[in-house]
Amino acid sequence: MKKQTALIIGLSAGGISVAAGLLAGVGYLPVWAAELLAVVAFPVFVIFIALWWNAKSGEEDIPFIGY
Amino acid sequence: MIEYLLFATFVGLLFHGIHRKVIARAQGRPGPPIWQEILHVLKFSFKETWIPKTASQTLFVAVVFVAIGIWGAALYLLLSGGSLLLLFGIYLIHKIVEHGMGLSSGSPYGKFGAIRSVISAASELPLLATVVAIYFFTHSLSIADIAAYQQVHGPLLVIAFPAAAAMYLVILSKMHYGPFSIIEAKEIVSGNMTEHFGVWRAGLEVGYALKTYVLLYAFVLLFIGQLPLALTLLLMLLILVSLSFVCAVTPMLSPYDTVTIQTLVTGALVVYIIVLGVVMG
Repeated sequence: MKKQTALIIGLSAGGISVAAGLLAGVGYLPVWAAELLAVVAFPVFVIFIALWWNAKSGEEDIPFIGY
Repeated sequence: MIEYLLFATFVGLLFHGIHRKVIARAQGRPGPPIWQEILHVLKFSFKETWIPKTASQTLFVAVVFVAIGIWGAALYLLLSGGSLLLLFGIYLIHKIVEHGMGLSSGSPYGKFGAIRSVISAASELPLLATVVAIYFFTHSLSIADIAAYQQVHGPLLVIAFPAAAAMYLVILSKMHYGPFSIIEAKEIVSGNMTEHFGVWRAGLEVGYALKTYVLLYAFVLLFIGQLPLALTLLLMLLILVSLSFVCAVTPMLSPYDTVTIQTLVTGALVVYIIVLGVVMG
């Protein structure tokens, strides 16, 4: 997985959690549905943001093609 | 929505740090700073991360997501005053997570931890007995109804003390460095967590922080009642410190002794429930 892919997935999951909370706050989404979305999205947010900052961003990304 | 999860994760990690600090001070050691577990999560998230070749790849990764997800769900369940049976169900899923974590690993130590997690399933028995004892008084398994009952009749901690003691044992069974922490005992390295490192371990620590927060919060809600946030957090901290003292002065039990103690406590609670049934009709 590319570093940028991990960031996009992590931020999307965080965005879904925040959006679910906001939509539930203004009444466009039932609270239980917002909670369900947050429960599913939060682990994705945690893991993929960690994978993003864990990934190397220098020449290490070039695949090893042997000596 | 996500703010609740972030707050509970932060407080849970801080509680883990306080737990380690109290254990260290009780044993005459300086101990790490209380924010050590927060630093641990950050440290693990920067460590090199991969999936061992001998591991079951899907399960190895999935248990981390499930560990965070189920305790996030449990937090919302408490906040919304849902059913106590659902909380019990989540506790059972956590057992599957512990088991799957060890079995998915290629390490024999991880598998030993998984087997021990099956043995320590006896820790679910006091929780089940607690649920039954609470129902005897409140005639409801809704957490909101239980909190409302206590506003009228006073805390269940006083009315149903044996049930509170059993729930206390349940939380103690899930604490790190405790007498019942046989699945992560040092003689089997880190037990079922042995091969989960880097980002996977950071994720597990987040899940465990949520678990500690939820179990302590559940104890306050079920046995003391609905209180303002600051007072709830203070009571959770006091319960945690008492648990830490128990962990500090109690050596880790052998797997068979943990089952014996948890079964005896359950037996005592069953006798209590039978007496309640006779007395209360």
